[in-house]
Amino acid sequence: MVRPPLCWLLALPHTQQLRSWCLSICTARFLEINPNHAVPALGFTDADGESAVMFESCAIVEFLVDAIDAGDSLAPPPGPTKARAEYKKWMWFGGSWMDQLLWQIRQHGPGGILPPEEQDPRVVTRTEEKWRAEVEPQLCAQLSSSGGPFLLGDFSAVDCVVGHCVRWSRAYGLSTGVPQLEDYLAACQEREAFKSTYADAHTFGQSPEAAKQ
Amino acid sequence: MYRRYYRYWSSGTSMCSRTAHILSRFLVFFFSILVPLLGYLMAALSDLALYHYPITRSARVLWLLHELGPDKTGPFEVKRVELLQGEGRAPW
Repeated sequence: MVRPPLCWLLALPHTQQLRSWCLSICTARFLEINPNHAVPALGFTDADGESAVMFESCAIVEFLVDAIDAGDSLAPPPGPTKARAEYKKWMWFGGSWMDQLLWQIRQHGPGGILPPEEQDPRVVTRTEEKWRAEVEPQLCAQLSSSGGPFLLGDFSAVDCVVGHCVRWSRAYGLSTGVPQLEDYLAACQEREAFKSTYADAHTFGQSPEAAKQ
Repeated sequence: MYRRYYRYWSSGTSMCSRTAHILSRFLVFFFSILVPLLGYLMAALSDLALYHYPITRSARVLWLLHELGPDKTGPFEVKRVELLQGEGRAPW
């Protein structure tokens, strides 16, 4: 096997090690952006011309809506109103409660990110029961009371978070066979922005080279 | 609606007609040029870059950016982070 010149210069035996070395650099660089080894992170320049980076999806969603779309169509205007309280409540219910339940399954479920010897199937069972018994009925009740098709009636930034969680839960066989949630997800999937966002879904798990093709 | 006002104003005296004409030109300029220009110049955020991996939590933000649309967000960059290749995870 002919070693590439850069491998030879760096005294690396083959391209795989070169790849690992490159990734370790990427890792260190990315960890400066988000030390939690996770996406999303948002880089931006603020109104004073100062560069900044933030992480946490719910925080980013709220920040963007308030900074770019304040009081417009995607969120009720800030203030002590019932509409704003509902918006905040469902935003964080999706981003914290629903998310952490799904994350438990992501870690402990089949093909989860934890090593098999550290996985506990009881966590998955308990979490699935909780989702079906508590989360699904709450979402259905809210969709009924709001009149749908979205969580607060009309589409709002909340749906970007909760809709994502509902879509995610279906990967674990949850939120299926519930007509209201099926209709909710269908309404989300009809949106052009949703289609653009998930157009790269098929590249999940692919190598960077394959994903570019 | 604007045309209705224009007809109303222009049906009066010549002074009213001239005023209506100037007002109409100003309104056209204001809404078609000045408002978008001011919106662009007064944009609170710029150089948006989203660190993203497909169907993960970053999809929430990407979805929102698409919903807001380029008129509000301006151009934004999506930087793919190879989470499963170790870029985000190691050292785990």
